[in-house]
Amino acid sequence: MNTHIAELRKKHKLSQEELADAVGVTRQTITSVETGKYTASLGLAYKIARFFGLSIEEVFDFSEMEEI
Amino acid sequence: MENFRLKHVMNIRISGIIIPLILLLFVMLSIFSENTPRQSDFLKGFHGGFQAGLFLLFEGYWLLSLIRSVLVLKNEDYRRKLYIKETDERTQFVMMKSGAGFVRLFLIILAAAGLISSFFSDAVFFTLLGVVYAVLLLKLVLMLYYNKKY
Repeated sequence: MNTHIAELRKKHKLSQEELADAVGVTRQTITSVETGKYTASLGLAYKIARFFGLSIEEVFDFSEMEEI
Repeated sequence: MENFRLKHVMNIRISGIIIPLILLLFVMLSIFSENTPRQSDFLKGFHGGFQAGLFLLFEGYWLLSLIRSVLVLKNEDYRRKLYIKETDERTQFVMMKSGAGFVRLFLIILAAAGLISSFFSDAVFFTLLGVVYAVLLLKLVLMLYYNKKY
């Protein structure tokens, strides 16, 4: 899944480590979410969105999600 | 985080019981093993080495666990880092995936080994078959448990 986390992080001048610490996960998790290797849980998505003061849809791109 | 701290308080108490218990068990096993007749000196040495290795592994694990729990209680920064490391969702996802993959691979290898062994040893064949059934049964029980739980 594509996300805007990397852009938002750069905009707020935050490192992956700092964001990870703020939302309570490891730096590797933030890396994986940013690169699309791992899809964040609803809880983590909410925490990240709330951290940036945005909605989940503004941080995570759901347009490529497969419809069943 | 408070639950995490309490978990480590409990771990210190459990370690206080288990560490001396493992030591006692090892001494008792050594005495028992010393009096058990073995086919050869090699087997005697092998069993002794295996027991000592296993003892060191268990004792080492619990000692490290005790040190970690003490550090969790004393150092707030370490507590937070360990909490994040232990509850990280991606790490748990990786563990779950690798666990499921391991069981599948383990069963395939065991079944293949059982098939090969059937050509030359009945004892090995039935032992491996027993292990395959035991692992399958365990997997089934766990699947039923987690199906009910979630």
